[in-house]
Amino acid sequence: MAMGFLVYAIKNSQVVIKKVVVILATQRVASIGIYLGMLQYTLLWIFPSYQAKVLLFGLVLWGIRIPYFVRIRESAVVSESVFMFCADLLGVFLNLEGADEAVKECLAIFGS
Amino acid sequence: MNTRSRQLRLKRQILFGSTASVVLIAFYLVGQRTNWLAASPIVCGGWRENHFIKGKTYKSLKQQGARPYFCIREIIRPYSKSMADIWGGVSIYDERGETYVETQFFVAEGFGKEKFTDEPGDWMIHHHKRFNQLGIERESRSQQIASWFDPMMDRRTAYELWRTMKIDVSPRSSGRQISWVRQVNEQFPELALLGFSAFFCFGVYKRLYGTASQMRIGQCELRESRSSENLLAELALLIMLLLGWSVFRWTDWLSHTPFQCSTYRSRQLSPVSLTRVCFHEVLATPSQYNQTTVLGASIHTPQQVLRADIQFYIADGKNKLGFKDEPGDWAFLSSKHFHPGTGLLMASTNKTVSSWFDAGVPSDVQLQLWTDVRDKLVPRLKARRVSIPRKLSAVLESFAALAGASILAIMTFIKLVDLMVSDMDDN
Repeated sequence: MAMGFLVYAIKNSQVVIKKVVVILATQRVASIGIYLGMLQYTLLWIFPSYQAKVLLFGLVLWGIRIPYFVRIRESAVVSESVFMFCADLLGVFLNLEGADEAVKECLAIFGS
Repeated sequence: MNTRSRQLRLKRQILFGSTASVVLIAFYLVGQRTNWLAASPIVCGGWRENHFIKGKTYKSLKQQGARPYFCIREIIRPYSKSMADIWGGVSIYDERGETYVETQFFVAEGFGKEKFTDEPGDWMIHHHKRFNQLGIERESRSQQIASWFDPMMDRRTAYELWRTMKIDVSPRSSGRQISWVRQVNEQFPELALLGFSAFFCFGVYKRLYGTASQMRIGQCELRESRSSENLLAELALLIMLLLGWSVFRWTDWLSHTPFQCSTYRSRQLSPVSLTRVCFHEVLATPSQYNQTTVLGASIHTPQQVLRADIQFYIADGKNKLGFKDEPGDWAFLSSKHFHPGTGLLMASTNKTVSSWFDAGVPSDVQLQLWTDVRDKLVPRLKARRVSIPRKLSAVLESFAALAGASILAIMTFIKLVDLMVSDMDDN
């Protein structure tokens, strides 16, 4: 089943990509992206030790809101999404090795 | 521009973006997560029965009937006359696969006024990566491990490795010999800046000479005004990037807030001078593996501000070998000299310099400072504390390819959506 779908997808890659983009470029998907973005922002404060993972989740959200705004030619929102994507990406890289260290640093500063 | 030529341009951009993105991701994965692009060996060593044999490559040792134990692949820092050390990249082979270690070998013999000679087999591993049999990374750790704690091989082979480094490699190491992957990673920030500048210049050239003939006369004025607005925005961005980069590299303005400062008075100099020493970063915490610590510090004198990564050797005899370091023993791993008034960079070096060669402070201050670090500061160091500029440099060096690929991917995704959406609108 999965293999069959994979073969179909490769053969008709352009059609598949177009179908996916058509689905993504709708207001409903953009709205989901925006509301989940609010949730992600809150999660950052609730679970600071999982910052890298929450930011990774955020990368996807910034990605899925882009198609709709490209479609309606709202270039400022597209630019904002790209900027936030880059900022989240930097956050992920900074936190990959630093998250555990940050916790240890806090313990060292405020005492255990 | 008509729809058809716009679509053609978008298709070209998508093709370029996706190809560049895939190439960068492949470069990151192969360069950082495997040993497939490792530098070819400088010298390898192994045992045939009880005889230690050296060869040019891993294969040549095998052909001689020996079992290879190590290959020296890189000279990360050549032999330093002011420290008597050499930093090498060494592949160590055992039954589980390969371990690649970046190691500082201490090879002093009759060094300085004291005619100091290092213990045979004395080295410090700074970073190690373990690979499986296929050469794919299993583990990567930045931790200082002294050879007296764990040389990662048997003592006999460890001594031969140290001797090979001292006798064969040190005298012939006039400069660095590093893999091209490390070279590219180290130069990535400069390459990115250069690429952006080239991209900007190409854009300016295209605006001035490339598109005018393709425009219809009615659109010309509107396009020109929009184009000059874009040009100004891009020029502002380029200037901001260049300014930020210059501040980052050539000034002391973004220094990390110190967590401890002390002022020392020297009795050796007249008139009596004050030296202020501040600690900004903890780059390596002391542990039972190494009994050393690396601190980011600044030394303020009336003449200059010296900012350096200082490795303090503070072994107290409570270790496997009962080894004790000399009071006042430290090394500058890298240092930058800034003007005390303006904070502008005057000189910088990546060479290691022993405190016995040049401590940067009078000798009575040297002893006081070392004692303070060992007795007062080190017991309180529980975790690393790294400045944002250093984190950014580390990210740029380690993840530049991956970050570049991700940014290209999102830009290509936007172009793809644009193309598909314009198709939908046309239909």
